[in-house]
Amino acid sequence: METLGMFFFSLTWSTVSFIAHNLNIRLLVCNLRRCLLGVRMPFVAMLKDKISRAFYSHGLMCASYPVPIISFTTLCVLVCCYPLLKLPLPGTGPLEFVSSEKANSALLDGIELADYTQIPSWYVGSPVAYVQQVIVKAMVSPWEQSLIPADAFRAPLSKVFEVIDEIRNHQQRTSERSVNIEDFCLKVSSLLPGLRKLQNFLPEHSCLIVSPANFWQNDLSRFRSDPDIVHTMNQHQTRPFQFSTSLKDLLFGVPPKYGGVSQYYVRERKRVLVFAITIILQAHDSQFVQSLRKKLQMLYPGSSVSRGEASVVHVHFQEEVGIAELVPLVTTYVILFAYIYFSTRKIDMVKSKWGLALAAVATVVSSLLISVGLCTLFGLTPTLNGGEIFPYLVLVIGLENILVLTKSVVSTPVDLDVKIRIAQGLSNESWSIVKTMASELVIVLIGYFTMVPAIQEFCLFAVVGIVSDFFLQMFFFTTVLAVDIRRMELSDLARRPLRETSENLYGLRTRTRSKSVWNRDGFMTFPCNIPLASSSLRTLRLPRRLRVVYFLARTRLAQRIIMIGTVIWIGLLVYTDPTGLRAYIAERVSQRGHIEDGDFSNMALAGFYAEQTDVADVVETRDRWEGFGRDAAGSSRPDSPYMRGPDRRAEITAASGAKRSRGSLKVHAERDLPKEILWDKNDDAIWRRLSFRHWPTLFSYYNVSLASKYISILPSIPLLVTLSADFARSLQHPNEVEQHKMSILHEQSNITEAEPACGKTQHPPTHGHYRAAGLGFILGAVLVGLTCALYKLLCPKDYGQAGHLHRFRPELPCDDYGFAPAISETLPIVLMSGHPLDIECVAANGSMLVTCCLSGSVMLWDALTGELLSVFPRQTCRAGESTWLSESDTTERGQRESVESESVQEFCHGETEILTDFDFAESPLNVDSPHVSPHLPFNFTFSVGTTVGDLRHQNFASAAANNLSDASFSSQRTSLTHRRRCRSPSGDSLNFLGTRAVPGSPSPSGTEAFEAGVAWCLAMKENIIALGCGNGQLEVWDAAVDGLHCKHQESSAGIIHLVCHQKSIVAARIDGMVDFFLLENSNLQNQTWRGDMGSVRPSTDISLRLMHSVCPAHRKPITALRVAAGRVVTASEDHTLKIFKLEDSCCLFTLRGHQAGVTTAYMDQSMTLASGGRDGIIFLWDALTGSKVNHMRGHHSSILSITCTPNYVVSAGTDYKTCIWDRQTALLLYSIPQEPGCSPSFGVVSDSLLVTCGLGCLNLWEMSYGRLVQTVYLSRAEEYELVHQILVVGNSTIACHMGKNINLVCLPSVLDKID
Amino acid sequence: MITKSYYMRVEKIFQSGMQRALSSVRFSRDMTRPPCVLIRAAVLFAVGVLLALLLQAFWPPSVLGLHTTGPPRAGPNTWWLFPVCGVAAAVIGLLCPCIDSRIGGPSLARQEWTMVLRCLAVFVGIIHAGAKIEFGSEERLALTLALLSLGLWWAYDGSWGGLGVGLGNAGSAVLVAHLLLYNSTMTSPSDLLFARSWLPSTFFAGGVTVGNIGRQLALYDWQGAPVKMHTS
Repeated sequence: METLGMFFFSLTWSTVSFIAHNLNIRLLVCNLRRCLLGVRMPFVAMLKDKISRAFYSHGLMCASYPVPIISFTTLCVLVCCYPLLKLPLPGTGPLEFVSSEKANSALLDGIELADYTQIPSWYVGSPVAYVQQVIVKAMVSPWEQSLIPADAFRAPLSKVFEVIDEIRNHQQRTSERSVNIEDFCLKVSSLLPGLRKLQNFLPEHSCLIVSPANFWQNDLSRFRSDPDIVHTMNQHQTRPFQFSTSLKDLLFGVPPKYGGVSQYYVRERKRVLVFAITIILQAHDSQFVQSLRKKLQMLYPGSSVSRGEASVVHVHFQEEVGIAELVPLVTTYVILFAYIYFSTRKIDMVKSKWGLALAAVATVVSSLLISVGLCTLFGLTPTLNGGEIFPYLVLVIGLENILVLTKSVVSTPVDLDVKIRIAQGLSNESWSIVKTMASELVIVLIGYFTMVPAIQEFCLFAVVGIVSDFFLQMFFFTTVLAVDIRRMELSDLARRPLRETSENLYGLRTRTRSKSVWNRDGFMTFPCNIPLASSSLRTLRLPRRLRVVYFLARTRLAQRIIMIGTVIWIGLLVYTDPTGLRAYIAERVSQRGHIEDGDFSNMALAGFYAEQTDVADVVETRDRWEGFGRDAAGSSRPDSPYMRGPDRRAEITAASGAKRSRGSLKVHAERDLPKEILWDKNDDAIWRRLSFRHWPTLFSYYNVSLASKYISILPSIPLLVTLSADFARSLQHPNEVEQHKMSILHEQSNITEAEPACGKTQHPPTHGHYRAAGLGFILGAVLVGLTCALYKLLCPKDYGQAGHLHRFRPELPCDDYGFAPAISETLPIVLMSGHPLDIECVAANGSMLVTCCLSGSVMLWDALTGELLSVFPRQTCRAGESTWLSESDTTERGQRESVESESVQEFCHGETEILTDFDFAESPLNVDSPHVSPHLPFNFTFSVGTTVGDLRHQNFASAAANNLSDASFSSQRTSLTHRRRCRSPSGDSLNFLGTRAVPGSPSPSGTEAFEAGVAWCLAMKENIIALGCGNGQLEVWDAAVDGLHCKHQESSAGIIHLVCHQKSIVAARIDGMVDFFLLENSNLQNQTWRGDMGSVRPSTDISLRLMHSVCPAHRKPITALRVAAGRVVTASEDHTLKIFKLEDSCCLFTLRGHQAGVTTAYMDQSMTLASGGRDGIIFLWDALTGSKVNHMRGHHSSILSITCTPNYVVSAGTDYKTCIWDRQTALLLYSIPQEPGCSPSFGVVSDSLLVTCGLGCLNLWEMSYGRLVQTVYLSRAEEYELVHQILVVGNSTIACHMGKNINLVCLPSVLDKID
Repeated sequence: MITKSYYMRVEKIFQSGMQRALSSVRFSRDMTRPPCVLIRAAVLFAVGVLLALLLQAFWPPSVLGLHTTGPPRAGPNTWWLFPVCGVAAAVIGLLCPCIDSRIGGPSLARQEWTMVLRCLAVFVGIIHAGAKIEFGSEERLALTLALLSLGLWWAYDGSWGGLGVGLGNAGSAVLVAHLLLYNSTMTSPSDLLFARSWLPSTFFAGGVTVGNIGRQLALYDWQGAPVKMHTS
């Protein structure tokens, strides 16, 4: 009945509590009515809806009140676990049950006891054996001076033979016959095969009676002839630790402390010997035992001890866990841990993975505890082995729900409020959770009806466990998850620098998230804006000392405290182990105490001299020592004591005897020992102090297992024996006497050497001392090792290094959690280029970076290391080329034309005034460039910010003005580089460079000098560098050998865009023409190469062939040119985009849609084309079909650059913001404001990381969360240099150029994280 | 007297030989990629050996009540039981994904290491229950174990292929055991009952479990890295 009630209760308790506070009762009634009335809504769908609503409101509640709910849940768990306190703790120690002797006999007679409830369950049947101990306490009294220390053992031990004889010969006459011990004792067969060496000491094929007499095979004559009985007793004392039972303990039958015999007996003060004769009886006959007791007490009359009621103690030994038992247990636990590992590994995208995993495991474990607790409360005592079924229960309950919950919550939109996220996540998975729980319950219920008690019990546990697990998941884990997610968002927020001023430096600012509308589908309707910090805040730094203090306080101290606490705890555990170390150490310390007392010598002579404690004694003793010293010195001077004859020895003995006869000496033993041996109450239970493995060990020697059986220990028979000194003397062994005298002489010689004034002697440390010291040393080493291991375990970081790395880094504000945005540890490599003027264009392939400056010099860098690979000698090798190329008429003509234009332009580089004068009339705006060639066939109208090129032009204009003064310096550097790099440095080029940079000087008039055009654009593919010049010339260079491959010049219109794609080069000219070139490997043999002037011949000769020319592709200038997937896209100011086929330059589509000029375009391999116009609208096209896919409005003014990744579209405009759009839905995800004065350029690394410019720094954003990952400072925080353009090289390097320099930033750390 | 484990041994050999013959035809295609299949086979072999060891640990001869009669079993005779079990496990584990590709396996949601581990744990639990729990009679033991095994299949496999493999495994095991029992002269009726009661369920559950493990391992082959599975 009780179990049924409990079952019902457990089933309902959490579901009811869950539903009750969530579901509106009215709603429920209404729905029920609707359901009953047969409303069309299908029942399952309605149920689903209800459940999901309930979960939704529950999630809201959990996220709103985390602290009350967690405390409530904890309280619930504690209350439910309270009944567990009543359960006995499992253990393998023996259990005791005491019954009086009378009751015991009554039970044996079959009479039932009154209070049978007190009888433990194991007390069934007869015991394996009865143990009867005869405990003998013996001493020699009064102690005489003529006795030697060994006498204290020898005489008492000899009594054991007598007693055993008495026991064996005891006959009890009953009415029928006389019985003796043989009729009752446990007959044992042979010892186990592995114990051959104990064969002589333990009885075989006879009664199991063990006593110290077994050392001498129960033979008194052996005992008498044994020269060193202490050695005999200790020879099998192999183990230094007392974890197990040694042979000596077995034979003595009393704890070693009580036995009074130690290996270093000489120092022992105690002279009472205690030993037991253990008789193992198979059957218990109380009359026989009583008669034996009477007889023995009659024989030793001193031992008539008044005793209370004797009681029999039954000791039950639990089953020892063997390896065979452990195999299934270990297997299940291994599976369990693997399961937990695989489960928690899937928890992802949360703040603290470990915290959540811990919460998950805690949920499961506490639900199990609740289950056991509730079952106990309702009267079901668990009979199953908890440790065995625990893994199965965990696996049945499972962690799946928790994982599903976490995943569902995490996958909700990031920008919703935490509450709503939790609620949504819960309601999304509500149906599956409920379904899983229901099916589990059904399975378990089926198991309940198998009517096998064990399975029923298991199922009961499982049902309660599943239900309480559901309860805990809903209340505990959901709340923990909410807290975690909130923390994660806070830390996200903290990564974003704040726009607060100094009064709110460390405060948190709530993220400006859209609170506005949340619709049920979970789509956000408004994008969030990411505020950016003002730069002044970022440079804030704390004093270093303060930072160090914070740092220590934050991490190291706490961990150290934990570590020390753990070490102390482990040490305490080890120390308090009752059987182990402490007893041993205590024993050792007590022994060493004598040494440290300084009366070691006296102890060594124990039994011979008095202890010197009184002042009078001290004086006397000193006299005595001096006397002895003189005596010994006089006698031992000629030779060593060992060489002396017996007569001398006798003389010394006589002398000492004479001194003893003075009577001034107090006998040590008299003071230390009681006059009479007493039997106190503690001695009754002396067997309790034995190791709990004592009896199992004894029985196991005969292959008798005590596992899950019990033995009965009968009240012991105490015998007190006092022996006379004469008796002791009669047993003395001559060897012992001799040894004793030797040792005395030895002591004396030591004393004479020591200082007699202080009365203390230094003694060499003895064996035991060494042992104690060694043990201490080993312990210390182990502790140190343990400490190191714990330290490594707990503090994995290297603090010194971390501190070093954070040096020189501007500090960012931390939040309450001590979190600050990561500042990159990567130091940007500054390529101190030798460009005399500002860098105009940059191109890169996987590992190389090409820069070209306004002066026309081209440099090749290693993009990974920043090493300058080569400088292209564009001017110096010109002569050879001209001869080479002169075969072509067109080229020659073009050259001549270009000379004119180039001369004008190059002149403009040096002469700003002329430049402005020259172009001012034609350009509609003041700010214009020399690029607008006077030879333009038709008019352009440029406005500020129209094209990407415009920015370049602006830069150039300012740079040209600014850099004239320092141009000479850099040009000298360039010339040096030239000299180094070129094989034959020509004075001409030096001259040219040197003179050209002098402001105001007229440029050299030679036509050769300005033949090479100004590079307007640059493209690179593998080793091919294509250079588009302002004079319409296309140059193809080889990056490997710094050589010019070929040149092409047909049109004089400057090339403004250039793209290399495999073998083709597409060039867009300023007049709206698009040229398609093909690179061909020309035959080297047909060429006559006569160039020998500073240029290296290219290894493979490549020529350029103009395949097609689309003229004019656009009526207005082309603003963007992209090639991907065999398509060429051009964007133009004439509001259209055109798509050409790469191979035959056939125009496939003309895309119309922009209301203003198209300023930028991007196309990737998936043929998705994104274009941005001056009206701020972004269009997404499908380049395969030419259809418009989507459009995005968000920018207010023209868009300057655009990039697509598989998931996002990133755009930057002149309205000072960078926007991240979702590519599929065309929704604005984030908009990142540009810092004022920074370039709108950005780059995308590995599809997920956005790099934008900051003031003197680069900001790295994670696009999926819109959070700032890192800030890379390009220079010291005080100096800001404006970044003009960002270029992503390869997948991990960012090149940004600022004026004449290029900075390379490698981002391995970020990429590791993202990958 | 022929001991129980001897029956098991012979039965395993028979079974594995049969299945090897069966699988050699169908797996010729997969053998074009020897390294993956070999690694899988090796892992499955190890699993089989471990399961056999476990079975041995749960059903020691003392539990079966066999050690009292006759001399203790000779040591050298038992060692090759484990390789045979391993081979059987390898065969089943390689067969299962193959069958799945033909007639459709369990849903992908079930193919996760956590589910496989739960399945394994339940299998161990079934053996454990059969060995440790005192059932009233052999029929009850058989019924309970059969129910538990079916529940295992339903919860962790649920595919017709898995059911077929399990049933085939159990059937062949029972068949071989019975053949051996009838042919041997020293058959006692209790032995027969006992074998009837626990053998089919255990082998059914074992087949399902090993099949699950095999499927999970096969995911490594098909997808290169199963980590993708978790993240997706």
